[in-house]
Amino acid sequence: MSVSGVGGPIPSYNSNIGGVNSNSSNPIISKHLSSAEFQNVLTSLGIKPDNVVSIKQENGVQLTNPLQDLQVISITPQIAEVLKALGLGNVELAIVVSAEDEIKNIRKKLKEIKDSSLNKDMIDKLLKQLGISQTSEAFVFTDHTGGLLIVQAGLNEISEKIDEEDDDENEEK
Amino acid sequence: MVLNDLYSANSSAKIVQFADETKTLPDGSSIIYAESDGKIVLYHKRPFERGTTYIYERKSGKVFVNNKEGNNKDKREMLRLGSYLLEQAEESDLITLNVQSKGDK
Repeated sequence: MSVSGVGGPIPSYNSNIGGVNSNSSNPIISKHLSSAEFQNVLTSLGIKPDNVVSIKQENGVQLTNPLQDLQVISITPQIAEVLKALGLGNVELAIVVSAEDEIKNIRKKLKEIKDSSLNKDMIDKLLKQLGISQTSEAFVFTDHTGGLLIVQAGLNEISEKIDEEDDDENEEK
Repeated sequence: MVLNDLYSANSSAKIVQFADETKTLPDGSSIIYAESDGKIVLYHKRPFERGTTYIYERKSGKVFVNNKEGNNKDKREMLRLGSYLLEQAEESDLITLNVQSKGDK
């Protein structure tokens, strides 16, 4: 299971939540991991904090530990640059939850959050629990793979446009 | 305001990058790919150099390099860099972030 956030360098660490033994080298992340709010979030997502025994970064979402591995991704300057280029700003934290035996539950919870008719106060409360600034009004989550396909599709789109323009130029000549 | 209203003003994007941010491509550079409904962005950074941001506007087909309008040569460079990422990265190396931003355009 992974939880990811956006806001600084991707850390590599091993920590314990539940007993709250946060050893992250990233102080921002340590703060989140050790906070009661963070554990409240886990609880609200249906994860027992006591079951979260390690936090570590592995390759993407290919987490093999059957226990809930949390992955926290912070916003790097590079990601901030990309977000800015896309016209998205103020993303401070991403929460990603994935685990072999919990992912369905997490997806369900995220979908419920997205699709439900919860009022703003409840959303604000949730964001607060997630450690997201009330003014940021932005968040990130992922459990997606398929990055190569996404990149390939985007490059194909650009390539087709170049071909079109080359054809137009040739016709003009 | 109900959640549906909140989300009606949303914008979203996908960001593809190495899950391990310390990982670089064989030439030492790093590349982040991102896309939204309106744009495709490729961020390229060589060690000890300022990063270059390529923005391709999907509707107009225009490309901007560090916010200056570019040409087909820049689009081809964008393609070259993206292809390099595809050649060198394994699916398991990458993570895709879904970003949702409430009316933050």
